[in-house]
Amino acid sequence: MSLRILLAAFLVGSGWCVWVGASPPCLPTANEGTQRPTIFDPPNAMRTPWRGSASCAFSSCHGGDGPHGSLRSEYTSWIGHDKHVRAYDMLLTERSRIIEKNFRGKDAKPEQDAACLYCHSLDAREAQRGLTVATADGIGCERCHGPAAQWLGEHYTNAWQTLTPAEKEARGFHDLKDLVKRGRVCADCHIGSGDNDVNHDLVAAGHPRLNFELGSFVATMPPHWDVAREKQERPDLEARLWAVGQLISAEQALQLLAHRAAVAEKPWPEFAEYDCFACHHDLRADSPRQRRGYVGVPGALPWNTWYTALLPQAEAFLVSETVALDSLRAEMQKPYPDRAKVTSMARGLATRFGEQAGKAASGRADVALLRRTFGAVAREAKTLDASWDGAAQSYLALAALYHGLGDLDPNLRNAGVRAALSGMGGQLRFPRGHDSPRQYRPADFERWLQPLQSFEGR
Amino acid sequence: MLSRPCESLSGWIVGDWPRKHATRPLVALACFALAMGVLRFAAPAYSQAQGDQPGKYLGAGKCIECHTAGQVGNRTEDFVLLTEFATWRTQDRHAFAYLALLGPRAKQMGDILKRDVTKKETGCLGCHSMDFVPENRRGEDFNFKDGVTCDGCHGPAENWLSPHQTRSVWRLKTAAEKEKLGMTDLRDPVKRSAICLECHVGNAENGKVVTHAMFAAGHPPLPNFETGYFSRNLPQHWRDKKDVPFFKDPAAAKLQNAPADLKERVAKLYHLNAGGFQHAQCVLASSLAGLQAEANLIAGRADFRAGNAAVRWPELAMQRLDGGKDPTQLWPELAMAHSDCYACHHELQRPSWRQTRGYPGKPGRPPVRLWPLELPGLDIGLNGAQEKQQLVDQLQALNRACDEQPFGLPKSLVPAARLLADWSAKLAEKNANENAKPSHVSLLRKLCGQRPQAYPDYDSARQIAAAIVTVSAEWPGKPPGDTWAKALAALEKDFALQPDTGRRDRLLLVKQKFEEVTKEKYLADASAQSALERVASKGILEAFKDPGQDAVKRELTRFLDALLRQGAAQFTEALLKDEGLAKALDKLNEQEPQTSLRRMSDYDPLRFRQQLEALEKLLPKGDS
Repeated sequence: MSLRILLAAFLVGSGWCVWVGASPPCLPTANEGTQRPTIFDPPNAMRTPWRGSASCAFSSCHGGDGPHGSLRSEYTSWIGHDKHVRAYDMLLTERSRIIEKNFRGKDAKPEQDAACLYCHSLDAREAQRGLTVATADGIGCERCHGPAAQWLGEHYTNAWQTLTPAEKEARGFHDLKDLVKRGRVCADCHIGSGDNDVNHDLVAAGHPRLNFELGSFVATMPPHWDVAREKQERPDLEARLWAVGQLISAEQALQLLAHRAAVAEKPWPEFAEYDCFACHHDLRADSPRQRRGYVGVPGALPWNTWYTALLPQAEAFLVSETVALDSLRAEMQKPYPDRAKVTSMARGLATRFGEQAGKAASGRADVALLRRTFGAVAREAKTLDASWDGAAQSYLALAALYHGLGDLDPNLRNAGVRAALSGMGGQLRFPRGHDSPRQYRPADFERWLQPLQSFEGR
Repeated sequence: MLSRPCESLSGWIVGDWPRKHATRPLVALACFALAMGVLRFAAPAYSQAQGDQPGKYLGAGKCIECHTAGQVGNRTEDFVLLTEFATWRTQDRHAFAYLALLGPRAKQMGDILKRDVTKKETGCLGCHSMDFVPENRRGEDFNFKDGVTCDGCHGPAENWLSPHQTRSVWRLKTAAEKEKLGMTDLRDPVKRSAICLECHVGNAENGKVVTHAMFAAGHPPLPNFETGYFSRNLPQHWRDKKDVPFFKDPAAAKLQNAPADLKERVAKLYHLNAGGFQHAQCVLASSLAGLQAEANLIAGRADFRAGNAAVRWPELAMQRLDGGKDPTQLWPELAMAHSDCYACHHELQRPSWRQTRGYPGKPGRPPVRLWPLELPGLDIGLNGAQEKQQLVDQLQALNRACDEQPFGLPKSLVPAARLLADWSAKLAEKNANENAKPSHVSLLRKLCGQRPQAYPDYDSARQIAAAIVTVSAEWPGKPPGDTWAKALAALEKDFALQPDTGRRDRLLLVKQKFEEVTKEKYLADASAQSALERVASKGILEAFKDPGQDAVKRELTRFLDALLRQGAAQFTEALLKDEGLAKALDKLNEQEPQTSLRRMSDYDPLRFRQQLEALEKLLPKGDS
């Protein structure tokens, strides 16, 4: 079984409902004016209508009957294998009904709540609705590739091939070969943007926590494109996706933080910003946390243990940002962080991480660089404050880097490392019926790091 | 032999009864109410906080003289056992409250907090010692390191030490008269609850707060508090009415000059009329007292304009990375000291009963401690629909304040909590005046009759379970057969409600230390040890009334005499110097949170509801 399948099994099987679980709420009180434009708002603010997934489904276009993932069968692969198809169906479940009831305080219908529909279907805005749009199609083609009204007729012509990505973008088409663009498209829902926010209120109501990691999400998604060709073009793809993912995730998460801090009507402090499992664990008389001790004030909430845990390891990350990130962390870990300070600090950092993501996407890694990063992550993993978030990020990074190395040089594939990685994955798994790592013990996880540290220099 | 203070010649036996006492109580009550009204603005005078009473604290070192080795001079057991000090010193955890600050857990806490836990400003001494007593109110034998001592609960003894020895006079004094002298009326369940809850819930004004940092550093969670259950589990150093010789002795009422209604009058003054409803009355009192204490704590912590900042917010003394010295900057961390621990601290499970249950306000906004709301929510201590509606309205106001921002908006919390505190205090006072005594069955019916949609959290369920166990113990009409007993045993197991299992081990540790100090052996025989435990609530006369126990009795009194000779101060110092003892006691103290936290992890509200339904079915139809 390939490690990628293991990854997939880990993400899905461990109870993360990250894949289809995103349903950001639109808080009714929030100020529309402060909402960051999403990627679905073209720069000229013109709202291009959707055409609906059915418009891609002709058998001669993308609805062919070829094998899963083959050319011209993209629609078929999507509708047959991809969980995005069922995003809307999720809203019809009993669980969604409970979430909506807890969140809205009445017997509301999640399938009619614009806040849910934003990420569980094609955007329901009337202006964008074409005749063939079916909300029940869930997250359809255009949600990632862009609203098709202006490029549908053009995109199969020879002339289309000569257009630059910017020209395509002007027509509403997103170039998902661009890893930064791809990452932002995913992050729009899987991290959240503006008022499309799975905040702590919504998570407490029952919505799964969002924790996004680009590389593993792309690896887990049933592909409807030619992965082999993609890797031929970019042998370091796995490692690159990881690095780009670190930076665009930080960008998106900080944009979201800035928005949460800026809008006075939004809950503050916003607990979704903090390590879930720092609070959400059964109390034990014999507490490993108390044995470990605390860095700051005991009982203070550790901020953003997911998106910033390994960020400094991403190759384009500038060491100079560490100071800014640390001051933001210090502010966020105060009992009541200053909203204005947080807004401006988070905005500034988000912009810089966005720029760095572009650099990370255009770079090209060799074996030496990946090995260095692998070693650094394996060493860093021990000092990640024993949080599950940090350990899980380390695991995902090491797996991505290992795959990258194997793609660059097949001789580097190594049964011992694979075994150690799958051992780590096992430690991180949530027990049945749980959304928290009840049995996770840092010491057991760290044992698997031993064989990995020697892998660096071999 | 130490000199013991002389008892006045006019005892029960001689019988010299004061004749003028009919009008005094009213006058005294009025004076008292007036005095307290001045001293404690806003808070009703009915129950007092520690330190509110007048007079100097004389310390356990004073009480040891008469309350250790049984009969003293012509003073003999009746209400009092005269072995109270021995019980407290050898078995009661209150006596080890300060010692707990010297054990490994406290050391770990100090390391994590980067603070000396025995220093005033850290905030531990407020509950773990008698340090709340100001210097100028400490008597010669007072030692704040004695833990929570006699006068910690009974009140400062300076003004009543002498009068309380004159039994015939003291017996007929009203509670108000005694309180005027500084003695707290602990037989009144409302006042008892108030004193216990000072520490067991907390009191910001008096510096009795367990902060979130203290919990994070290792302070065990504060469990729910039901006064009846806690009283039952305390090594009892007082008699139940049925055991008091005075009430059993038919000759007592015929004493020379004794008023004709002597027994009735004394029973009333000592709140003993309820007979087999003693602990059940504590359940009634717990309901409103818990609510009042919790509401008071919320108001006391959220009111930034209130004075005495260093006492009110021990957080200010913490070494902070953010350098915060302004309490307004420390919210919502401050709120975590009065919030429901388990609203956040639980593994995330699916399906989640919290999500199925829903939330009173916005989801994800931590509520205040929930268990103090549970008994009032079951109408216990409430009379009729109007009071019910008042409670609902006030809790809604509190909920709204908690919803305004995560952990609540201080300026909305303060008025909501103040209103609730005052309301519950007034209602408690009214209930006491009306002397409300519902039947065991009606109380049990309220406790078992859960609302069908209710999902009490673990501590709230434990509050109900403790109340059921307490009331049931006094219920003469228990259903025949063992179904009821079995169902009750299951409750006790699920909620770790068995009596303190470490008591015997604690006694042995203290005895061992005592032998070390005195270089002699005591109570070698196991029967002598259990005799000491028995003596705790029965007294020496009762415990040894069967013939053939002379040897055990001799062995026991030898120990008690030695304890008395040793004196309180010296022995305390010896205890405090022994690190091994602190460590061993810590280990015993761990047992309770270990068990209850495990039970909490396994808690299933649906199972609890079924247990209640099963119990309810066993209750008789009528009100007998």
